[in-house]
Order: sequence, then C-alpha cells, then structure tokens
Amino acid sequence: MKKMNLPLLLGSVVLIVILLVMMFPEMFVDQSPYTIQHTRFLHGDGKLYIERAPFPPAKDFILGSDHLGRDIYSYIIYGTRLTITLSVMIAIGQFLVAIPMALYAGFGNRVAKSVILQTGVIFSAIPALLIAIIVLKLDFFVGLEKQKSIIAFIVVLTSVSWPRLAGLILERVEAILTQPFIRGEVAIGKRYFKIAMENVLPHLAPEMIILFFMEIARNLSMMMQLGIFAVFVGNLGLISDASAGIPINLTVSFEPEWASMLSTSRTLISTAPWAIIYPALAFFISVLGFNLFGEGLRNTMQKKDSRAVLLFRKIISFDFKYIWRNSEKKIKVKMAIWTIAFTFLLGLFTWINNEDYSIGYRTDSSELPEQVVIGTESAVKTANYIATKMSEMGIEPIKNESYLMGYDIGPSYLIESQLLRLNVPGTPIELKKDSDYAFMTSGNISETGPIYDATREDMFDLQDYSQFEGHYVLLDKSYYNDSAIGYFIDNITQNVNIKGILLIANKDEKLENVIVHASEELAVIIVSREASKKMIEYPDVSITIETVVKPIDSMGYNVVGIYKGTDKNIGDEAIVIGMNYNYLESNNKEVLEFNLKLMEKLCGLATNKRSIIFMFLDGTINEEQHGIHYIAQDFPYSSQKVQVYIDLTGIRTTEFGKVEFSTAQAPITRQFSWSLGHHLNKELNNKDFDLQQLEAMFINGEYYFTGSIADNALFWNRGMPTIIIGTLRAEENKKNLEDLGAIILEVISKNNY
Amino acid sequence: MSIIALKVEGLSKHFIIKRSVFSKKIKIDAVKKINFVVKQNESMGLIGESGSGKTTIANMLLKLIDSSEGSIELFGVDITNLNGEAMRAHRKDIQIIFQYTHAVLDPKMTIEELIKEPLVIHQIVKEHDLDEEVDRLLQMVGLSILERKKFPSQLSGGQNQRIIIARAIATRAKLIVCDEPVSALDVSVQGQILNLLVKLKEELGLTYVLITHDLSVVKHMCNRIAVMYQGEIVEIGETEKVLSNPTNPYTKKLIASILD
Repeated sequence: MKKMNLPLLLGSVVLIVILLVMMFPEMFVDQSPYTIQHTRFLHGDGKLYIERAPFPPAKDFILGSDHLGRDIYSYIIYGTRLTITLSVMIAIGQFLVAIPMALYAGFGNRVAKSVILQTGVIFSAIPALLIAIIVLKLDFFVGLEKQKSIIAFIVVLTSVSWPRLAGLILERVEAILTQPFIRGEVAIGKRYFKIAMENVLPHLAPEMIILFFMEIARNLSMMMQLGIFAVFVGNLGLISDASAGIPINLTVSFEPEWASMLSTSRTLISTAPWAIIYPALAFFISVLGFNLFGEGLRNTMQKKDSRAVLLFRKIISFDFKYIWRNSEKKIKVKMAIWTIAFTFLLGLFTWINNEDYSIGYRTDSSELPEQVVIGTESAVKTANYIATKMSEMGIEPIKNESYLMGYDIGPSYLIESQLLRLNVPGTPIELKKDSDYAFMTSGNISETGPIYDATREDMFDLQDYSQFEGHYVLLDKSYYNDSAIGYFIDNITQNVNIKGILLIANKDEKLENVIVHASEELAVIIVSREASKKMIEYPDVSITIETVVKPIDSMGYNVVGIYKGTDKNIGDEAIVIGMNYNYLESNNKEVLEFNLKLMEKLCGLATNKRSIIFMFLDGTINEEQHGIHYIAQDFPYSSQKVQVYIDLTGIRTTEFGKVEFSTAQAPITRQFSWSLGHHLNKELNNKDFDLQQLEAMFINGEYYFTGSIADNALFWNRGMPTIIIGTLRAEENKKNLEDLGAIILEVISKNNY
Repeated sequence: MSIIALKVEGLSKHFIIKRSVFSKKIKIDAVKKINFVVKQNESMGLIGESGSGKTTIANMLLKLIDSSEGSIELFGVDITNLNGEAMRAHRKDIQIIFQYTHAVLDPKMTIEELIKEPLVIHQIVKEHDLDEEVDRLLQMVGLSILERKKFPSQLSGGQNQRIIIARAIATRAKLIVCDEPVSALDVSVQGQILNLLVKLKEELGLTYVLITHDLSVVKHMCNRIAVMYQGEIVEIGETEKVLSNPTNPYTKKLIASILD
C-alpha cells in the first residue's frame, strides 16, 4: 500500500483554509473588524450592568474582544490577508535577492560571495530581529501610512534575512557546480547564464520550493516576535481615550493584522488572556501549516519524479509552446481536472459569499409626484406616502403616534419667475439664476435701484445708516456669521428705507432656491462672488429685479420613525439616518425611491441590534427651510443614545462622478461612529469611489462644515457624531446609486450586529 | 600535405598550494613544457600512469582550466588566451569525451534535450530540422530513437557514453579529445565503444587526441603516441616504432608491465 504523505496533507489543508480566509473573509464572519465598542450596558435581574472592554469570549464575541472592544475573531479572520501576504512577500523578496546573489557567487564572482559571507557574519553576531526592531522602531517608519509601511516592512525584513538564505543556497550551488556534467556543459559552449538557468536551477528547485515555504513560516514567527516588541505594519493611530476623564494615549493599529493584535494586547496577558492567546494561536497554526507543507513537499520531491523538473526548466526558459506540445495527454487531463476543480471551488465560494446588498430601487415611481416642494400639496402627499411605507415596514412613530413632525417655516412664497439685471453702461447684464444669484426673501417685486457697496464698512461699528437709503446694500457673508447678518438687516430696516440686501455667497455655497421668505418690501438675494465683482466694478450701478411668486402653506413635514433594535442590552442605542424627499425634477424621483428602498433593506437585515431612526427631511432644497433645523431643535429621541447620524440628504442624483464624504464630525472619541466611518471610507475606497472631503473648519476642538449649516445641525446642537455622504456631479458621471447603496447597507449591517 | 589540427608548444601548468597562512608556497608542476603536433585525420595517443598530467592537458586543450605557460593552436588559431565569447565560437571545433561517471550527463535532462543542446547553441541546423537531426545522431552512435524521452539514469553506462559521443559529433567537431573514454566501462562494452570511435573517425574524418593509461587501446586506435611521465613527454613517435623500440627507460618499463 502506498504510504500517505501526512505532513503534505495536513499542510495543504491548513494552506487551503488560509487561502480561502484570505480571499473571502466575509464568508467566515459577519461582523466588522473595525467596530469599536468600548462600553456596553447589560440588563439583568432588573439591574443595569456596565461593562468595559475587554470582554471575555461569549456569544457576542466568540473569541472575546480586545481592550477597545474589537471582536478578536473577526480581527483574526480579516487580518489573515495582510499577515500572510506580508510573510509571503518577504519570502519572495528574500529569494529574489538571495538566488541571483548565490548564483553569481557560485560562478566565481568574488564581490557577491564576500557580500553574502560578510553580511552573514554580521547578522550572526547581531540578531536580525534586533536590527529589524531598531530600524522599524524609528519614528520615520512608525509614522508611515499603510502602503508605505508595508513596503518598508518588506524591504527591512528582506534585507536582514536574505544573507542567511543566500548562504544556504550558495552552498548548494557550489555543490552542484562541482558535478562533472557542468564541465561537459561548459565544454559544449554553453553560456554561464544558460547553465545557471537550465542546469543549476532545476537541481536547486526542489529545495528552493521547500525552503520557500519554510521561509514563510520563519517570517511569520519573526513578525510574531516583532509584534511582541510593538513593531507591526499598518496605521498607527494615536487614540486619545478620555472616557475616564484622563486622556490616555495609545498606539493602536486599525489595520487588522495579527502582529498588531499581539502588540496592543500584550499588557492584557493576565487580565484578558484571550486577547493574546488567539492571535498567537493563529500564528502558531499558520507557521505549523507552512512548515508541514514544506516538509511534505520535501518527502514528495525526493522521490524520483523528473518530469516536474523538465516542466520547471521549460517554464523558467519561457518555452510554453514546448510544454503544451510535449506534455502527455495524461498530464493535460490532470491539469484540466485541477483547473476545473479549483474554478468550481472558487465559484462556489463566490456564490455562497455573495450576500445580497443590492438595493434595486428602480421599481415603480408612478405613485410619486413629478415635483416635491415643501409647503405644497405634493410634499404633504409624499410625506403621507412615506409614513404609510414606514408602517408597512414595521417602523414605529417616535412621538405622539404620528410619523409626521410638522414645523412652521413662516410665510413663504414659491417663485414662479425671477430676473436680476445689472444695468451697466452699454448692454445690461442679465445674471443667471441658481448660479449667479438666488432669492432668499421676496414678494411680487418689479423695481430698479442703485447698489451701495458696504463690503468695506465695519457693520458692527456703523451707527449711521443714512447712506443706505433707497439702495440695494451689498454685504459679504464670509465676514460675518448668519446671526450677525440677521441683526444687521433688522437694524438697517428699522432705521432707513432700503430696497434690498445683496449677500455675497460663501465659497462653495449652493445657490439654488425655489422657496423664499415672504416680504413685499425687502428683497434678500444671495449673489455669487463672481457676480459681485461685476457689481463693484462699476460705481453707482443700478440693478433691476422682477419676480412673480405664489404663496404656499407655511408648514413643512419631517417624516420620522424608529425601527426598534432587537438586542435587550443595546437595543436602545440608535443609528439615525437622514434622507431627503424633496426634489424639483421628475427624474430625481428615483432618489426618493432609492431612499425608501434603502430603508426597507435596512429593516430587512438579519440582525439589527441597535435601533435605526429614519428621518425623511422636508425642505431639503434650501438651507432656510431645511427640516433638520427643526429636528435639531426638537429631537424626538434621547440624544445620548444616538451612536451616529448618517446624513444622506446630499444624495441628489442617481448618477454621479464623485462622492462627498466626511467623517470629521465622527471623532475617534465617539468610537462607534468613528469605526463605522472608517469602515465606510475603506469600502468606498475599495470600490474606487472618488471621494471629496467637505471643507471643514477646526473650532474649539471640533470640526465645523463651512459649506452648509444643515450639515452641522445635529452635531453642534445635539452632539451627535455625524457622517456625511452625498453625491457630486463631475465631468464623467459613471457611478450610480446602486453601488453606493450596497456599501452603505453592507457597512451598517456589519456594524449593527 | 596534411593540415595541422593541433599544435602545442611549451604548455605548462602549475598549481600553487599554500597550506596555511604561515607555511611557504609550494609550487606543484602538473604539466611541464610539453610540445606536440596533431595532424588532421590522425589519432594521437597520450599515455601515462595516473597523476602524470594527462587529464590536466585535456582540460587545458578544452580551456576548462587556464594554462600557466605555452600556447595552444587549433587549426592555426591561437586559443591560449581566448576567453568567454571568443572561445565559445571555437568550441564547436574541439570537443571532449569524458571518462564515464554517473553524473557526466545532467541527470535532470532528457536524452533529447542533451543532444539538442549543442545543436541549438552553435545553430548547427534549423529549428524545424532539430528532431530529425537528433534521430540521425542517435542512429549514428548506434542508439534507438526510442531512447529520446529517457533520462541518463535510465540508460546503461555504454549507452550514456554513446550519448556523450553523439553530443561531441553534433557540433561537427573536427578534433575530439577522448579522456579515458572506456576505462570505466565493462570490458564487453569497451570494444564496442572503441569500434564506434574508429567508425566515426572514418565516416566524419575526425582527429582524435586519445588519453588513456591502457596500451592496448592505443595500439588499437592510434597511429602516433606520446608517453608521459610526471608531467613531461618522455617519448613521442609512431605507435609501432615506440612500442617495438622504446628508447626511454620509463617507456620500456611501461611496455614490459603490460607484456607481463
């Protein structure tokens, strides 16, 4: 009976498992490795227990969690990819350097030989590990970002470990070169290079392949040792943990990788041994796997099977035609069977793996109106439609048994037609609406008047407003905040009679408006910076305004509902999602359809441990009537329980070029939101979305988005960490909502386990 | 007037040995200032006991090792100081048949690959004629074309020696150095290989330098003979003359030892 090659069998089982874990980590876990859950609340015996990470292995955390509350099991699974790749890359690096050097040295190159021998001597005197620690501990290396850090790691570890390998290979090369047949090959006129490739390498190959796997195992254990000395690859974040009132700075990697787990958890060995035992076990198993595989290969290769070598030689001399022509039918069949089996296996896994995160929103838009504008009948109708959908999906109202939360926007008009003309000498310039200007306050107006440039005045100091009389007053919004401007307008209108206010828009401010505050006397207009330049250019220029408006209902309706979380401990915590339901053009119906479908899919997820609050906000077309301001004034849920607010109101088109994205208001101190934002960012990058960060100002330790007040509402008024996702048009609008939605759905699903 | 195939003048080889840092350098003369000429179509025998420098000469002729002094002229071209590429061009004119050992052919190459190698390196035939040429060479050295896919370890010593001969004649070499071509083989096979060499010489018009310690081989093969003793040629001349009427005491002793 044929003796079974047990090491090879065991080794290949481990290797295949590792390969599958590397390719399909999602298959093995459904939790995100990025989620940080520092504190958790447990209800039991009518009492509330507060637990702090690290949590021991239990149902929620199969292998426990580390001191930041990250799930060790999913961290190990996701970390496989980087850890194993790294060790393989280092091994490849070593061989790429060692083999040519050893061959050169073997064929009598003195320089190569002395380099190998001398570096070998140095590294046998000073352990390579020590050098690697010293070099990689340098601030320069510690501060590198992920990609560069990986490259640096490979380069450093390769350069400290290749001489030993080269020494081993050199010994073999020299032994092969003393064989009599080499003399024969020289006599026949073969080049040294060819001899190296065709005669030396094939004799070297079996051993090299075995050595390769052994080296991978060796590198893994080297990385493990480095990890214990806090040297690892990946993002080194400086986390400031202020939960106990004392800020603690920690060096933590947010890149799933085994060595970093050992490093960050090494102080926990006595209190939370699981945090260090399981990553170490992962190392142990894979080191064992690679070693067994190498050992098994050695056993097989030592048997005389020279066909493989013939094939190998043809492969390294790129003679593929020969291989195909001369390989026997049996081998071809064998190869075909293996290929088919492997593809089948891959296909099977992709199929199993293919969890459906698609949104599929283009269903029926017939029930929706062509245009939804706050204060009009269409808005009320749509709000009720959304409310019906919510109740169908099992979403409950939060306040007063009603989904609709009305708010007063004050007397308002819908603009039916508008015109702004600059009466410069010669031909008057007609400005373009929505790009050059937008009305904020107006009535039915048809008037002409001169401009007074007040951009150089200090409005706070100004006591005498008489020069403004009968003018359109030009102010720069970037000098004053919104409440200051409100105060000036009040002051001016009380003292003198002016025709209107022209406000120069902030950078990147969107000039789009269909709803205006009602006023028959005073027009307030936002003008773009370019348009304002033309106004200042001509002294005493006059402008003409003509508008026709229609009064609308002064009520806006936000539609708000909660989908209750299932977990008894963290079910009260909530993820808030804000979406818009107003639109002007009928093709944007699909955005609303998408929002509704996303809501449906989120409710249909297998696990929703935390509650999800859905807010469909009215008035999202303009800043002024934006429903979020009213929600922020009167938030129907405990703000402390809100873990994160995900703002999707910026999603306006179904096809787009860039994604507006910011997690600046989801700081690392708010761990849940930070980890969710981090995960989102990673997924968006993986799927090749072109991200554009929102412009933000740093005020008193927090970020303030300068583009829109609405973006800041919940963070600055309610202290809810905010993640903003929106769509931006670009020259090429290749991306569509389906892909973006799938990412949002997947990330929320994986973080709300 | 026949062409001179090989002309060796004052060829020497010495090795310098230094046993340790402190010891004196010791100069060992392996070959001392030898001269001989081999004409085309001639078979020259180099005979001597082990350690007399025969194989060193063979290696020097093939430029496998560098000579210390003297010159080697191959068909009128001085190859003494040729190196690398320049030498490679002349390698197809001079080939060597080694003493048979188990690893004289790369054990990981097939017979086919081994024979194709010289043909490809020196571009003897066009690529699509390669297979045909391999068959022809195999038949010439008396092997079946069925052996093509086999490895050297699957063939006998005699068969392997035939492969080596096939490789040597594949380059269309005019001069072949045979270094103890049959000494490691069975007595029954020895004759066959020698007959093959004689046959090929006639068919292809080869010139041999035959290195051996076996007088009977020389008698069978060579028309001229050089007797070597401790790195020097002590006697050179027509085979029959030398054997029947040796002048050097060493030669006398050598012939006497065989006749006993």
